[in-house]
Amino acid sequence: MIESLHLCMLMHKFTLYMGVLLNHIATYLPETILTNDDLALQFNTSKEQIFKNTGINKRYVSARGEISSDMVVKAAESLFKDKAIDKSEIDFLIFCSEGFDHKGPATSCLIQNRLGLSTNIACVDLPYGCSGYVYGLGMANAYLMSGMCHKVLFLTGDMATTVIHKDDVELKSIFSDIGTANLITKSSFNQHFIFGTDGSGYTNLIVDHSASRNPQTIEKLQENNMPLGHMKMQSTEIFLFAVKTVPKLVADILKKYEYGIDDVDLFVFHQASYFMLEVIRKKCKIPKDKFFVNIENFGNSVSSTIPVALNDAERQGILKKGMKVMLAGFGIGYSWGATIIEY
Amino acid sequence: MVSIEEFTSLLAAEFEDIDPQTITPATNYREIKNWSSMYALIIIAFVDANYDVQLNADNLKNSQTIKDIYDIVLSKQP
Repeated sequence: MIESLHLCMLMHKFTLYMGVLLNHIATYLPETILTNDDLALQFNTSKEQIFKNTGINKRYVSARGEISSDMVVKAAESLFKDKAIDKSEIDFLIFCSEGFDHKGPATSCLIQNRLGLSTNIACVDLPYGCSGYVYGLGMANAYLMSGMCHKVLFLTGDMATTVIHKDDVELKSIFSDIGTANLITKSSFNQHFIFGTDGSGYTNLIVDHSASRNPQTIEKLQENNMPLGHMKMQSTEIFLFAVKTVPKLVADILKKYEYGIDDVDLFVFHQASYFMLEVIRKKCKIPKDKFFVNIENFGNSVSSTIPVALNDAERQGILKKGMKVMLAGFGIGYSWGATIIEY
Repeated sequence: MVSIEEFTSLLAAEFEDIDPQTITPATNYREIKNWSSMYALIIIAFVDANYDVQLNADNLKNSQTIKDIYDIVLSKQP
């Protein structure tokens, strides 16, 4: 009796502490690239000024009619092909986006069918933005840990450029449309998460006229021709939120792991804007060579920035298997989350 | 806390593209030539990093000059 109790406790301990293993990441980049030259011409400014304000040289823009689910399906298809994945083993699909096909059914159901995945699969849509990647990993971790699934396909993709007003140079300079596919199984690494929410800041970054509250009107459509909604951002407020919240988030997740900055091999944060990342990096006292930034070549692709950065860092030889990597997502909501993975 | 003159000169040094000689405590920072919303972020970051003071949106809305910012930092400093 006592022995079986011990065994139970051991098993409990074993199952309680697990993490996610990112097996593979694939990225889909739309063909159209918006350069600083394009923006400078359109908005009568200089490409140098645009780069100075954002730290971005180019962004990706989805083709007309190409929506979030199209991008993630292409990312997943290339993942299956390039990595010779047996897709019949995938039993949980998470689709993180704020641009869905329909109000119902869940877009992840449609993606299951389009990718030819098993029907013995759980599918969920995760309607999150900049914190979405960490949220998705947290969900994958919880499902894997509980034994409810064994292999997770986590897709991120957004089409922010379709909800930006044609005259909004600030948002046009920042956002980018990219899809990613992430294949996740469990690892024995003891992973922790921290999440936070402050809905009082929701008006500072919002896609207005996009759903039930403040629905689209004929007048609005005639005024701006934005049928999917209109993204509005109070950049100073968002900056204040990030500079206040993220350093504390970093300190809290380090504390949870009982790590110091030196124990983490690489820091990969949501690529919001270069200036914001630099302020956060300095405030957290993270050495520059451990802080991966690639916003220059990809822009801010909302929930895709972290997997795009992980993929890019690995390609550049900066990120290697076994490294301890801190991931932090923060933004629209306000919503934020962090974790440390063993890559 | 440093003097208002030193605060002004340190902050002015953060504004690339702007001649620091043109910035004084009485300067209305929104009227600086080439001013953009980016400079508001530079002020927030400068104050946060150097004086451990977090400005809020109201602080910025209610201030006009570099001295106004300095006074807010003085009043909020831990």
